[in-house]
Amino acid sequence: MLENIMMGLMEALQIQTLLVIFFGVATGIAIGALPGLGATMAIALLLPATYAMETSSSLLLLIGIFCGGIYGGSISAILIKTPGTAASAATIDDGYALAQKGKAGTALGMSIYASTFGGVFGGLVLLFLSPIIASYSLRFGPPEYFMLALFGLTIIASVSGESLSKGIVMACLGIWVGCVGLDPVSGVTRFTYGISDLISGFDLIAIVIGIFAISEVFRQAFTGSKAISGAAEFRNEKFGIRQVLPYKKTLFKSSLIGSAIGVLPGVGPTVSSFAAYSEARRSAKDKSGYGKGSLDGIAAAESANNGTTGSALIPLLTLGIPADAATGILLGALILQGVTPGPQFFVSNTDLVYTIIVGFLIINVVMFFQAKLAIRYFAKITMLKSYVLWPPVVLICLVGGYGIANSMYSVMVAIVFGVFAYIFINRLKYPATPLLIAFILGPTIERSLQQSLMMSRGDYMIFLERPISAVFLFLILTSLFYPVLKKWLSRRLAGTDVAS
Amino acid sequence: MQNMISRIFPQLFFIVLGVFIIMSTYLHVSSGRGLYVDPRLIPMLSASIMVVLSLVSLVTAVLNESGGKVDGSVSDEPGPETGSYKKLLMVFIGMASWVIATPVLGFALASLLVCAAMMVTFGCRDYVRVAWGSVLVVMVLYLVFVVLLKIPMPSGLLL
Repeated sequence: MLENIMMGLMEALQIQTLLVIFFGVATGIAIGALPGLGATMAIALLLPATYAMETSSSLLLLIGIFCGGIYGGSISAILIKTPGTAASAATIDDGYALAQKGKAGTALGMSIYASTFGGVFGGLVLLFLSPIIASYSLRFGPPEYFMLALFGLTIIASVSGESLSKGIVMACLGIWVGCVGLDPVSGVTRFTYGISDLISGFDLIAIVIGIFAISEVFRQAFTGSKAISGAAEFRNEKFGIRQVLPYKKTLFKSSLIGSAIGVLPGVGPTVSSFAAYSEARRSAKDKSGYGKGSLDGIAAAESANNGTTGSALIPLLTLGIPADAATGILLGALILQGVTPGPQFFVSNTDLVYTIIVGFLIINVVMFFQAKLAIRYFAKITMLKSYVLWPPVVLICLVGGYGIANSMYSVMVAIVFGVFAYIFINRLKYPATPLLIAFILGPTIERSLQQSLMMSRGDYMIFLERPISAVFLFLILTSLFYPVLKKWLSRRLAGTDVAS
Repeated sequence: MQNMISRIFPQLFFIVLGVFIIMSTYLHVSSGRGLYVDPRLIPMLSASIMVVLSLVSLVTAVLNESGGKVDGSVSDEPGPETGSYKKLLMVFIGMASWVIATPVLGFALASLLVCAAMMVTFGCRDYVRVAWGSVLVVMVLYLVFVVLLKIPMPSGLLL
């Protein structure tokens, strides 16, 4: 393992890779600080820039944007009470309260230290846990893959937002969109209607650009805001490691919570930051300061959401299952580079895997120094005029769409999905992530089901006879029926209370 | 009435889409011979779930709407987002124009025009700034995508 780490370190410390990391983190922080944009859109927007890059550099660029974006959200949360990303929502109360007291520099300082601590912690979890999971997943055959992909689909329940029904409808749409083109097993063409471009199906990147970037441009054009947000007050204050040390217990505990939650598909950094925040508050001796400018609260929320970033890569790299929309796009970037993550990925691409993992740790260190040195400039990004920001975004979407296959077909696909996403996702509040996850997992489900049944000559018992597959089936049933069971139990308990 | 239409529009859309997928699967997709999983199974299944859930949602929305009218209660949901449809249309036309114009005018000229139009749409009224801003954006994009990433953009009248 040490040999692999050294190999990854040498690869990640090359000047070209470091420059890519530097650029990725800076872009992530800048876009993450813009309210309403966030890490997912930042990755979608910069994805076209990775077409001609080496696999390791392209992945580190996108992971840099991901980590920087999650941290960047705290800047606007603290300065203007509007989180750049949902993951920083738990930072608002304490961060903004401190900013109101003229201590924005202290709040931002704690946010930097906590985010870096959480990120490095998540990176170490990724480094030590993923090889174990990967070696275990080498035993996977088609039935296990089928059940695993099906289990991945159950995360739709947790990413559907307020309506599970809307989430399932979007997932069904995603599965159908994934069916367009050649059937992966039989070679039968489906839903092409004589259009030759449709034979190869819809490209994930075009869909991602449409759903996350073009729809946001439409939204911004419709709302017509002249600037992203108002002016923010910020003074440079001295904040160092000495001020952080009293919060080391919170940092460690929250990073652990963040990393544990990050491994679970579909939960993500927003849940982890709130979970860590409430745990910090619960275990604090003096709870009165929380929500009124507590540094402990900022430390908990920020270390947890960045702790999630590393562990969210574990299911992606070891099983090929995205944990959320951002890791779904990272999966698309890997496929674009001709690499399929999953159990074999660790064996056949060991150098790449360790470059990504070690690069992830370097990203967090780079993020620390960038944020420490240039925080006042990143803070100014919240005052950017709309006409400066959005026209380049429009062109990047168009040029990026064209670059997928050097044809206008992908641009048209991106625009069509952009219009659809604006109407259904932005206006009618249908969730985007189920569509994306189902689009990614749909073909895997179909292919592995076919292969499994070919293995068993049509006997569905194969899914129960194989232990790993049976375990996944149990997990699927548990995740499906757990909410119903929980509701039933709480009703029953409430009924008992009333009766007594 | 308008509120009612906006409430049932998405469900109706997904019902129509689902029915279209089911019919399209029957008419245009052949069953793979000798396969355990018919290529029509997954699209049919997903479309059927889409139709059933949308139907349930539609009925619920209609019942809630009529129930609301009977008891005279007012919905506490936030109203629809207000804004400019003109700007929205301008952005869409700008994107569509880029798709049509790029093969004719070339990447640089088409992007320049679309960028300038977008800057005006997003509220910039200083036309000197629009001019140099557009040139700067297109130059950076040209350097990144064409020179650095070697993506062969269409060349028309200019570049």
